[in-house]
This record gives sequence, C-alpha cells and structure tokens, in this order.
Amino acid sequence: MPPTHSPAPSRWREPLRQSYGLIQAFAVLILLVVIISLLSPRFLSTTNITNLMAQMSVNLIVAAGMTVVMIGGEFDISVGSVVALSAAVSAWLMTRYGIAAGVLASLLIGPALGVVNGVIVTRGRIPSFIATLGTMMMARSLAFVITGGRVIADLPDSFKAIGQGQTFGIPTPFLIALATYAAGWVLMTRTAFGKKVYAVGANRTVAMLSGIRADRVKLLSLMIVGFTSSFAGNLLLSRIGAIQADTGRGLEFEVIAAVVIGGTSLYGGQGNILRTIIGVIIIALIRNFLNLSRIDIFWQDFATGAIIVLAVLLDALQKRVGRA
Amino acid sequence: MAEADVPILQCRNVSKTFGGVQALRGADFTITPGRVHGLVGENGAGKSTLLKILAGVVTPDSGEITLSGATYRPDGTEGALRSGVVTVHQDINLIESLTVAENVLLNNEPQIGPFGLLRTREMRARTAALLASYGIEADPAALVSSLPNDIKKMVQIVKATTWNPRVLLLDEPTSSLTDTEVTVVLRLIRTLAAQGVALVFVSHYLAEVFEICDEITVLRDGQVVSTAQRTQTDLPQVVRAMLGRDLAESVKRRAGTASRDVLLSVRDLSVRGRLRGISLDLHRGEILGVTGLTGSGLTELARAIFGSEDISRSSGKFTVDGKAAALGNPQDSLRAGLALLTNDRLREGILPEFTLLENICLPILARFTGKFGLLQSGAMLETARRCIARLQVRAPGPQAVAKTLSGGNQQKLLFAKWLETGPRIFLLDEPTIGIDIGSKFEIRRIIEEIAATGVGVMLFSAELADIELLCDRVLVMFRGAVVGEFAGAAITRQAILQASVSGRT
Repeated sequence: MPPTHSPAPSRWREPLRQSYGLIQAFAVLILLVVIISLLSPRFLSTTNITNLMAQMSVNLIVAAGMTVVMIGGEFDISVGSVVALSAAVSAWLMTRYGIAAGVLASLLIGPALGVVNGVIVTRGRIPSFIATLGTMMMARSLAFVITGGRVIADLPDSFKAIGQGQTFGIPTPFLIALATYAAGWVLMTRTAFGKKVYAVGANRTVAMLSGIRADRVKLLSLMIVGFTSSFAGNLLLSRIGAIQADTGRGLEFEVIAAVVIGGTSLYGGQGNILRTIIGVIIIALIRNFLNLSRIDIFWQDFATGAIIVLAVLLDALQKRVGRA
Repeated sequence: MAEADVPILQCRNVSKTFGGVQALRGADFTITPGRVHGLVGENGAGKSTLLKILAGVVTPDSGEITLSGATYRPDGTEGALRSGVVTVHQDINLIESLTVAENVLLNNEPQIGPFGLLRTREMRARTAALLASYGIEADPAALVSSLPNDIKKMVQIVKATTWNPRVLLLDEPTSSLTDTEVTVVLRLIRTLAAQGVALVFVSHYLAEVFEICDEITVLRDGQVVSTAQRTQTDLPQVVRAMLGRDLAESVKRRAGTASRDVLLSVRDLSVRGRLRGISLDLHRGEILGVTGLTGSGLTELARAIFGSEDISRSSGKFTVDGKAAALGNPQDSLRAGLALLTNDRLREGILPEFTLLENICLPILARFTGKFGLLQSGAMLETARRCIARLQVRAPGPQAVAKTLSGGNQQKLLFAKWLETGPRIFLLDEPTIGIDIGSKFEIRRIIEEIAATGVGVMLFSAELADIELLCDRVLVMFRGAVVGEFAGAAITRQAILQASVSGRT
C-alpha cells in the first residue's frame, strides 16, 4: 500500500501527471519524425506531408469513435465495412438524387448498425468482438450489392471539392478530423456521458450500483463509432471521388492498433482521446516511410504488425514497472 | 474397525508464523480412524493454517506430526495425497462441462494403447460402482453442470475417495448447500467414517458439527483452547471457547436515535436459492444490524433491496415512507433515497484509477450538467472538496487518484460518495472490513452521526464487534432466512453468535 500522505501538492503536479502519457507519446512521435526525415529526404516535402494529412483523416475520424467504444470496454470491428457501405450508399444516392440525399441518408447507416450491434451486445450478452464480426460481414456484403461490384464515380464536383480542397494550405479533411477530436475531447472530458463511458469501462458493477445504465452507455458509444464511420466514409468518397465495395478492408485493425498505441487500455476504463491522434499518425508515418524507402508492399503489413506488438508490449511493461 | 481408538494422525506442539503473524502456536491435534473430528473457531483462529499444514501446502516452523506412528512431512500436496491425506476444498471444484465419470477419474483415467485412448465404458462402469457403494443416485454419463448442488458436493467427495484416503480433510463441506442438501452430505460423511476413514470436519455451522462429530476441537488465536467428546460439551460452551473471555471492552453506543416512524419496510423478499421470505422494518434514525455467517445471505439481502442487476427477486414488496416503491433497479432506489455501500471495496467500491472527484461525483453527474450538456467542473470540485473535508478523508486533494489512499481512507471516500447522494436509507455492507483499527473507530463514529441525522441505517456485517457496539436492533440470518431478532440489552455477542451458528434462538 502506498503511503497516505504525499508531499505538499503543487497546483501543476496533478494536471502534469495526467498528461504525462500525452507528452511521452508526443516525444515518441517527434523522435520518429526526426529519424524518418534523416533516412528519407523526400519525407519532409510539402507534397508528401499534405498527402499524408489527407490520407490519414479517414483513420483519424474512425479512431476517434473507436476510442470512445474502447474506453467503454467494447470493440467495433465492423468500422471498415461501415465506411465502405456508407460511401457506397452515399455515392449511389448522390448520382441519382443529389448530394444532400446521399450524405444525409448515408450518415444514418452507422448509427443504425450501432443500434444493432448494441442490442446484440447488451441484450444478448455477446462479446462485441463477435457481434461486430457478424455486422462487419453483412455490411461488406451490402456494399457489394449496392455497387454491383463496380466502381461508382462521376460524383458532383462541388462534393469532391471538400475532400480534395485545402484550407489555409492544409488539406480540409485533416482539419475536419481535428475538429472531430475537439468534439470528442469535450464529449469525453466535459460531459456526464463521457464520465459514464469511463466508469462503465473501468467497472461495470460500480457504475451500475451508482445508478448508471451501463447498457445504454454501451449502446450509445457503439452508435457514436457507427456515426464516425459513416462520416469518414463520406469524407473518403469526397477525397477519392469514387468508391468500390472493397474499400476499407483491414481498416478496423489499423484503427484499433492506433487507439492502443495511443494508450487506451484494451480492457476499458482508461484512455485519452487526444493521444489517439498520435497513435494514428505513428502508424501512418511508418507506412509512409516504408513506401518512400520502396520496401516491398508485401512486407509492409509485417512491419506494421511487428510495431503494433512492440508498442503494446512496451506499454504493458511500463505499467508493470510503474506498479512495482 | 480393527485399529479403532489408535490415533492415525497426531500433531504435537505445531507452530507456524506468516510474516510476523503467529497463525498457530503449539497446537496439539489428534485424529482417529472411524471418527469425525470437528475443528471450529472464528475467522483467523488458525483452522485453515492447520489444514494447509496437513495437506502439505505449508510446512510448519516447529512441532512434530506423525502419521500411523511414522514422522509425517509431506512433500507438497502431491506427497500428502500419496500418504493418503486428502482434502476436499470448500468450493465445488469440478469441471462443469465434463461428465461425472470424467470428473471422478480426472487424470486417473483407464487408457488403452500407445495413444492413450480412453475406455469410456470402463470409466462409466467404475464410477457407477463407486457412486453405488455410497448410495448416490447420479448417472456417471451426466454432465456435472446438470446436477443439483448436493450431488455435486458428493461427487467431489467421492472423487477424493479415489485416492484411498486414510485421512479426509473436509473444509466447510456444507457452506454452499441448503438445509435438505446438508442432511444428504452429512449421511455420506458418516458412511465414510464407518469405513474406517479418519475425518476432519471444519465448519462454522456448529449445529452440524454437533450433529455429526465425535470430537470437537476449538481453536482461538492459533491455540487449541479445548478438545472434548461431543457428548461431554454443548453449544454454549463451544461458543464461549471460540470467543474467549477477554471480550474487548468497547464503548457501547450512547442513547439510540431511533424513532417510531417506519422509513422502509420490506415484505416477503425472496431470491431463488439465496433468500427466503424476508420481512423487516427500518425506522428513522435507527441502526438496524443484519448479521450471520459468511454465505448466510447478508450481501444478497443488501443487493436485493437496492435492486442490483445481478440479483433477481422472485418475490418482495417495499414501501418507503409508507408509499409503495418498486426499487426495481439502482436508479429507482437512488431516486427513492437509498444508497448501498458494497463490501468489496476494491472490486466493487472505488474506481482505483479514477480521481477522488470522479469517484464522488459518479452517482450525481446529472446535478452538474449545465448548458449544452457540459459538466460544471467548478461545482464538481467544490462538492468534492466539501465531501473530503466533511469526512476527513486524508488525501492530497480531490484530483488525487483513489488507489493512492489507504484502505480506511478509501472507505471514507465511499461514505462521502454515497452521503453526497443525500440518502435517507443507507445500506452498509461490511463497512469496516479490511481496515485498520483507527479507521474502524472513525467509521463507527461516522455511522452514528449519520443515524443521528435521521437516516435509517442498515448494517450488514459479520463483524460482531460492530453489531454489538452500534446497533439498536439486530436481525440474525441463517441460510437465507431471518431466524432471530435482538434488541437493546439482548444484543450480546454470545447470543448473536449462537443464533448465527445454530440457526435457532
């Protein structure tokens, strides 16, 4: 047992202690940027950086929702399929009934599937990993049905302008992603719902006995990740200007890995949504580096996988040392 | 039996110290084939240490043990089993997804050929014969998960007999059973004794000890304080020996603050297999104790009243302030003015990684939700500060993480959390468990103060000191039912313990 009395608390100690992980992750990121820029001169070029920003914005937005779900102690592996399905529905409707119809209708898909996932998880008491595995396959299949296995292109230019444009010299999708995190940060730290997500993820029984409806919190957080997936799907569609049903395969694991690298506990209850940004950037940087150094594409997943394992191991090790 | 009356296992002057705490001091203990020897004592008296020494789990620091005249120093649990000293553990540790035969012969299966194929038919036949020899009606091919509790317990005991025990150590063999199931298991124990096995029966249930044992040994503070033939002692004498004469002289609560107004009434509350038809009234300003042995249903009753999701009531009606209340879930109960302090502080009480502020504000988040659904952090901080000061929680500040506090301060933090919900009915489940003496006194004082403000307090505790010192009235539970009620001067440890262990007043 640690001693009851600690030295006189300074005003800054506690906030500093709580952001220690954030500072640490940031340091790792900077180190990585320095190493990569030394090894690969093209890395710091404006074209490469703007490309990177635009590319990672989809993962960023999905990872924001995933962080909420994982802090609440659940997973959603249907996100990649939901991105594809939402983009497909949006494109299909847009080419027939206009931009508004496509975007608005497709934004409902994620939350609706979130309700389905949530009901299976909370009413059926099924682990979310399995429940969302089912919806993952179903959503993917629907995406193929809607596109008929073909690419849907010919989207209105005004729609593509958002995803392909820049604001203040920064790719607009990246700014939108950052705005998502601002909203996510407020939700998780400044609202009752956020506090409830943490509590339910940390200890369901304590939350339940404190009068929190744990099932409702889980269902809502699955709806939130569904919404971010649908939103990201539209952004992707706007940036690429076309969609095929295969889009976003494997996205779920890259996103979960980013959230874990960002320091969110695999067991729920702990995490900081802002650190997820760093997790996403780290994975994107590594992929970018492997591309720039012309590493065989078949080896890239291997390298990413190894880095994920390493990051999680380091985190676990650090926690064990910290406890001792 | 031929060797009757010749001891098979003898302990002389056995001592054991764990990290400065003397768990056993010079214990003498003798058991004889064909007899059941009861071993009783309060928690921490040294029963489990003695059992563990015999089972080869721990080695004694000093003393001598002989088994059939030869020195007995088992080399781990495996060694004890090979010497014929077999333990039946308190929990039913059978594999639910396997059949009875597979469990009984686990790791001891008849096999054929180099690939170790199982002879299923032979396994079933052997198990059937074994079960029949003890008169147990169970299908060897049935899955253990499909069996009732008493049959499971008996299968566990039969499994132990496949080691051909000379000494069988039974640790609380009836604690998970209901009354009728107990009779069946006790009969099996007698059968084993008749076959010449020496049995040790460790139990809190003194009525059963008196029913089945030939001799009774009482342990207190690591010492054997009495060993007697059952016929030469009685329940009050054994209870006195368990408690000792040096009962702590603590100050009994000053004048009670209970009024005559009924705050909460519970009628015919039942939970399948756990609680049977419980009715009670709680008055304004009263401290109502609910006590009984571990497993008698204290925690279950607290949770059933609060409407916890992990308990589903099969019957029960509640009124709060004379008005019917459903108390169907914790939200309902909190709204009706109830609060529940759980007994498992670390697993179901505090959120150790969360700050004091977050712990305190968890049930009352709605109060701080302002414009646009944002939390008012200033008000939360203010509330947390006030709570911490009010209960004198020793902590660096409201932003400190709960796990850095001592056990006693964590408990005060939980009191603070629930008091801030403004309860009128406060259910306290083992509020002083696992905290140091100093904090215990503080917690007791806090409980008195809460009652003095007119809150009705229900104190669910097996800690007799708390019950005796604090309560205006005490209900005693036994196997899920209320079996006795004591009030005022009639609240004595002797009377309460006697009712708790016998189920009678």
